[in-house]
Amino acid sequence: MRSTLALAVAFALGLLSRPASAQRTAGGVEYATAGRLYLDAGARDGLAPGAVLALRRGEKAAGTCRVEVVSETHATCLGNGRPGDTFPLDARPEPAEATPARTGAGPLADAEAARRRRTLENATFEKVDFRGAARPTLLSGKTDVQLGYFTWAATGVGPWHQERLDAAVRGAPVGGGFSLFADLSARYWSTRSGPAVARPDDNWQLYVWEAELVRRPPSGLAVALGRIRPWVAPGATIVDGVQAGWRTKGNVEFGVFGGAVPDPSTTSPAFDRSTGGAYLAFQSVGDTHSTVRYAREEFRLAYVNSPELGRRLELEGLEQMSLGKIFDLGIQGRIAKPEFASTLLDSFSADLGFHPLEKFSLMGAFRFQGSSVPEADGPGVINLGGVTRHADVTARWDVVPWLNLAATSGMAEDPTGFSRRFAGPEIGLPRLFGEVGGASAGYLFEDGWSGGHTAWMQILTRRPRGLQCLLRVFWYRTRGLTALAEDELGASASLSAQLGPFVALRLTALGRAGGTPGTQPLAARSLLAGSFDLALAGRF
Amino acid sequence: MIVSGHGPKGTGCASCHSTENWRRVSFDHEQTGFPLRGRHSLASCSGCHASADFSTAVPTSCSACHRDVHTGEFGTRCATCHDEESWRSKFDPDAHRRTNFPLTGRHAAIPCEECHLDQRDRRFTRATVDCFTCHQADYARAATISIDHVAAGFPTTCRDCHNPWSFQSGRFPAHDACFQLAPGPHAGIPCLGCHTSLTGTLPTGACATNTADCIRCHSCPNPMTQVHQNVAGFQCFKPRKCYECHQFTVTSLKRQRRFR
Repeated sequence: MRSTLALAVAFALGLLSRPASAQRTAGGVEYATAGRLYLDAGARDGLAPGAVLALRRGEKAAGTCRVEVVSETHATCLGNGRPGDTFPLDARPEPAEATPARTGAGPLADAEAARRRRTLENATFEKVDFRGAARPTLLSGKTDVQLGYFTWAATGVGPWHQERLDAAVRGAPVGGGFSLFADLSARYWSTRSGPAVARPDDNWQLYVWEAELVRRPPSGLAVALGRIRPWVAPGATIVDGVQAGWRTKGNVEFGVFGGAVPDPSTTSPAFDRSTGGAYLAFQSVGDTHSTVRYAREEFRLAYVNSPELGRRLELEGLEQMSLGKIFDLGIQGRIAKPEFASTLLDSFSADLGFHPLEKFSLMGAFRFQGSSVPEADGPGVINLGGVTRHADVTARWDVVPWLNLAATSGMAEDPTGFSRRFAGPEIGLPRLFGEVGGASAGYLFEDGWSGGHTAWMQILTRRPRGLQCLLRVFWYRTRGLTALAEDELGASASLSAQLGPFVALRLTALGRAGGTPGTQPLAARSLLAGSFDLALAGRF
Repeated sequence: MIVSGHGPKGTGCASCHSTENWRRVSFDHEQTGFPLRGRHSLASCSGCHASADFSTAVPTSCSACHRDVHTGEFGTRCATCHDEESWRSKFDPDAHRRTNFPLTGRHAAIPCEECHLDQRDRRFTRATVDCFTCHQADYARAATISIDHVAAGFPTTCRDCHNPWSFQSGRFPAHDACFQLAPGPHAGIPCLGCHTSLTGTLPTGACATNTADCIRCHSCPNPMTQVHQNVAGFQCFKPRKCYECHQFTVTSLKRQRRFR
């Protein structure tokens, strides 16, 4: 019986593997790795090493691959693709000579097959674990370097030029369990025409936000020293000092931090500013079926001393929570007790994401900044400001994969009573150009101390892979800002190209023309402004 | 046989790995609902997934992985300004229209740090959108390049006269009540092109400043004198006498010409 069944299966397989009477016109990708495709066609279908195959995904082109190794019925191909991709087959070459039919050995006897199976099952072998060679630290992918050029210009004002080098290191191991984190920017203003507000006498500027050695094991002593941005201490500014804490296996961390606070305008070390305090943090991550998929609570209690605000005690808290896939909440608030004043609410923000349906989401945010947020305003000028509020809400409906609709509304208010409100629709066609990209358009009606209208349209493409291109045109009409209404028409282009595994090119250009309806139309082209920036970014 | 680090479900090696290399993983992350775009596509799996068995949920909010350099000012919504390509801000003048201060004119073509000077905490909150808060120095500097705003007693509501493109060619809408400047042939003439002095010309609504000097441009000899020979009280060398009749609003000009 089993012999009969085996024969039947062999016959069926033979039928399947037999050359079709009609020549195949297309082959397919059966399996894909990161750089190699496994094809269901081989030499008998006309494939030969070195041939370039044009892949298709449905009706769309999906790149090419180069045939690597060919067997009679299968082949491998170097390139990127997915299982299911197809490719056309050319005419089958005539065989050079008839190959003799292969005559396989007959089926094994049951006893022999059983003996061989037992031998295999009883064989002992060692498990192996592949461990590649250690990667060189300098190529760990944790270092970003960007060389940039920026320029701004407007009618009647000569251009501003800035050359700039930005560097960031995010956790490069340096030994002893420590990693290096750094974030800095060196800028040179080669041209600043007209009066400058920001550091007018410093054409060379160096900003250092982070230069810290960090040790943060999953549990145990956590240490950071240098110019640190205190970890899991919400709202903490950067300090030249140290942070030390203890991390438990239950994802709780507590500790202290302190040091001198750099100057807010230059980030240069300063000794008239300082902070010190304690922090407590907890994080919980559930599995994919948990109700609470993610929860994070952080608290900071700190003494802060600065020339603008004097000595104060600050308490800040952060709460983030994701409930299932439906609800995301983020709340952060800070209260302060100045030395000679009563306790006040310094800042508060709330972010809400609500996804009751798979294709519908509601996003909202509220921001409050209290009266004691200093804003440097030129050398020696510090505005302590006043209360500002901002709120917005956006509803989005992904109607079908190629169409989404959104509506947004919001308001912003500042202490002198100026406020603005806005609302408007948005439509997105993310697959207008298939896999290449899509387009979207929107409109905002604006009301308040400077009301008006905004309309825009943009195209975003993400193909070929590694290249992102954004083109946008916009029109503004602004009323109330001056005695007459202002019209502006502009366009911007942004391009990001990954030139290789380590290097990317980024470019942004913006141009706009202004006019006054009735007296100075846009077509006069007498009011023009623009900006341009180009950056070469490396990742090592 | 391989020792799997992915827990009990981790025996289907070929769904992600190939025989080429353990490190080169092919996994369609799009099916998880979090497509890896831009720089995320270059991240290592363990950079986000602390547990190798991938059964632990990874929060999709940016702030769960990325530290906040803005000290909480913008909450958890990084995507308002940043995308997956880089940390470079995409918050452009377009986006600025959703704040309390639309960037029009030259405001859209200056570096962000000219207004937002807090480099340390990278905050962007401004105290107020009132022009004078930023342009105090320009108000004072006007004395050296055009009109002494302080001496003239000009108000500090800059936008009453100036547009966001330039401080030059300031408009003075209140002037039209006395003597229309725009539209018309007097549009664009600098204040001191007509006025002998602006000191003390605090705009009060009163038209008589006694400083307008019409005959700088309008000559007095014939034929003007002949035209005005029947106008009672006409005195050529007293400019005030000109605008007592010629207020030069569009309607008044037509009317006066009709009476002539």
